[in-house]
Amino acid sequence: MGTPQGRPQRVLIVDDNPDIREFIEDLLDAAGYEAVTASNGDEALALLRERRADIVVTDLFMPERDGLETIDALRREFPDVGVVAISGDRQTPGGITQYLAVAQVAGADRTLRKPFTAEALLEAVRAAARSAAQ
Amino acid sequence: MKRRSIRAHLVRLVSAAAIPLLVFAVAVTAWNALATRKAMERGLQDTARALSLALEEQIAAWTGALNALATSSAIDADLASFRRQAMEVASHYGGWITMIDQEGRFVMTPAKGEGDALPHANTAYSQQVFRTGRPVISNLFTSALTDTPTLSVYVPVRREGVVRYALGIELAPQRLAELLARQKLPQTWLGVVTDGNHRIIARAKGAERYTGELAPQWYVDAVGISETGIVTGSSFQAVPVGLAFNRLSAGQWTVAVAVPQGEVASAWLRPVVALATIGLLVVALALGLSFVYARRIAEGVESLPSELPSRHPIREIEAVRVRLRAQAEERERRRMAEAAAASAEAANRSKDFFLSTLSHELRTPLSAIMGWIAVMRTRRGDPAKTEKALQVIERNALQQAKLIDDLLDVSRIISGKLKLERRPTDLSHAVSEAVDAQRPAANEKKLTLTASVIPGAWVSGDHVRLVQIAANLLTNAIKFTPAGGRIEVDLSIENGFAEFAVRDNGRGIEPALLPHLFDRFAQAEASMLEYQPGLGLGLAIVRNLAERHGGSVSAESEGPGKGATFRVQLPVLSTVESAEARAEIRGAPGADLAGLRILVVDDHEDARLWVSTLLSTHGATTAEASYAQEALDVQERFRADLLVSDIAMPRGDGFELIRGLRSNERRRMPAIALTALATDEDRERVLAAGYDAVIAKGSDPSVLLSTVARLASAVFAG
Repeated sequence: MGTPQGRPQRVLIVDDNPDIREFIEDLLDAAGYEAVTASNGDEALALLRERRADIVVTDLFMPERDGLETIDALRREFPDVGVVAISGDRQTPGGITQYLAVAQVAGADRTLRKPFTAEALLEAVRAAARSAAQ
Repeated sequence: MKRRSIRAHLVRLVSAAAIPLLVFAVAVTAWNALATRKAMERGLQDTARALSLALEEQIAAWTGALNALATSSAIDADLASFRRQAMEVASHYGGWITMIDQEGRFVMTPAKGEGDALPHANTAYSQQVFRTGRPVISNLFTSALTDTPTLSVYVPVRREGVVRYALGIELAPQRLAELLARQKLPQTWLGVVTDGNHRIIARAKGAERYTGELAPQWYVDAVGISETGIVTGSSFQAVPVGLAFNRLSAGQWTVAVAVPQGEVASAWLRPVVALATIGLLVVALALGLSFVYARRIAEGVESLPSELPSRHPIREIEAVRVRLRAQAEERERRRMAEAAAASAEAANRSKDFFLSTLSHELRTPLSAIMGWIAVMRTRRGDPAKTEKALQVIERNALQQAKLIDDLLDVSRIISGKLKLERRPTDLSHAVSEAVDAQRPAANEKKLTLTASVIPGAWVSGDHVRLVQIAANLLTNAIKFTPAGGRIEVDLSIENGFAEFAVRDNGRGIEPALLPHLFDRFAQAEASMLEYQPGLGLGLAIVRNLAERHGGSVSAESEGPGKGATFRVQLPVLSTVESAEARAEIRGAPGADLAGLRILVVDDHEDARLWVSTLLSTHGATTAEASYAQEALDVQERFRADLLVSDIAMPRGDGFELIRGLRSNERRRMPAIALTALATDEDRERVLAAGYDAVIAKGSDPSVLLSTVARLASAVFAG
């Protein structure tokens, strides 16, 4: 899969679970993206400062800096990066399945609920890239 | 305001009622005593007055008789016949009639008549008659006629208006004493008469002795002041007496009645004492009853807050009690309802947390599985990718299977259906087994896993569950320790407890979290604060299993980043129980293994030693080896009749060993696999490889013994 600008879009994948991180990396790689990975929010922000990415795909539950904080931080520092948030259902003070909605408010362009198909992932990444480009 | 107890108030109430009563009783008694005393005194005075009257009558009788004689014409005409008349009268009164002229000479005496030589009448009293012309009553004097103490009454004899003679009657004081004695006074009372000189002239008792004696000074003083009265003093016998006196209207004689003071006192004291005694008894009884009732009331009131168990006889207290109990019951009902609501809410919240966490925990491996299936599909034909995908899928599927096992265990624990098969077993085997099983996972994460396990930690336990306890703690440690970390396992015996500890230098635990660590779903709630993978069921299961084994589990951590230590303590069997366990082994059927040569193979030295000790205790000769090739070499020389071998051995396992043995033996040697791989599938694989029996590690030693005996006899029979 090509990219509108003619150069491969760079996607940063943030997840503490290597099994998840690696298959996303592989699927995006196969789809023509330049995929890089980080296992936590701090590492992701450091990588972004080193080299910008077009899209960030991040899990919401991670040790140390969690997904919402990560989204918040990178939105302030990199406002034009597309963000896809992924998560399973987890209890939050606001309700059981509201976390993804909260993520959107925090600045995620798209959300994905685990488990998801390869198609849903690619669609979400494409959509996030579009909204970031606007 | 000062607060006093109800008892104090009741005592005051009783006192308030009792004090006026007491005062009244005392007053009545005192008044009564006073009245008694007054009556007594009045009686005394009345008696004195009555005696005076009697005496005055007597004197009047004497005077009358004398006056009658004085008018006799015989005085002037025939003195001799007058003397006869006079002697008749005198004999009637027991005295003597005398007649004295102005010069103090006797004109007539009972003995002698006119012209006789008569002694001079040495009495001044007769001369008073001439002076006053009135009757005179003498004091005690010594008669010139009889030379004895005498009393006398004189009357004037007038002729032609002039007092010619004094006519008198002389009386012995004895006559007066007789008069007093006739007065019938009470036994202890004493009548006394004194003259103008305060000499005793008559006494109802002891007259002989006291007549003529001067009365005591106190008496003299009293009589000197008034004519009548009451006085106290000491008698001649030094007895305190009360005395009423009365001066006679004619003359200077005084009549007195004396009563011993004791008599007087006892007269008024006796009723006082009786009254006082009765009064005190009544008051004491009243006070006693009051205190009994006061205590009943006070106790009733005091015990109200603690809710009296039964009905109280005092209506008001009973009413308060009923009210208080109703309130307490109402409070208790409300409290229980609130507690139930709160616990239902908490349970509900816990359940919500748990369900959402469960959902997450199921979805994460599912995501990985689906994702890697997608990878396999897109990378069809790439063997490296396919292999990687299969590994990830398998691992995540196993993770889910483990999660489901834990859920089922928790479900069994909640419903009480988790069954333990406890028997004497060595905890060190379970720990070693768990360490062996978890070592690959630790290695994969680049963790250093060291174990220090002493053998012989005999506990009463379910081997499979003991392994689960150790494995759960190890999994936990591996999960929370970052790559490069260190995990130490330690098994020791101290104070009758086998202590199994898993120590890591991982991320540690918030102090606030420590107390709730072993609660069911705890980790799910903790995840609210910080993400942690897993449901936290493992620790809840560990706690339940430890407690079901009569033991306990605890966690320590100095805080986040400082690592954590989990300890499980299980009571070890006493020496006696361990001995019994071993005795059971010895007494097992077919346990006589004399002459049997057995090869024992196990990479764990402890396990090997234990098995060979067990077998040699029962008469077998044993040899040991720690891996397949060594066992084959030993067998060359030892020529064992039977093999007991572990399966999982790093330097050559039990499969390799049995293949080597079976490949060149003339006669089939019985082989027993002693293994931790205890599923049916494992068992079949082991049997298929050439073993004759499979025994789970941690099984009762008697199982091994009887199996050895059975196989050995089959060989020898065949």
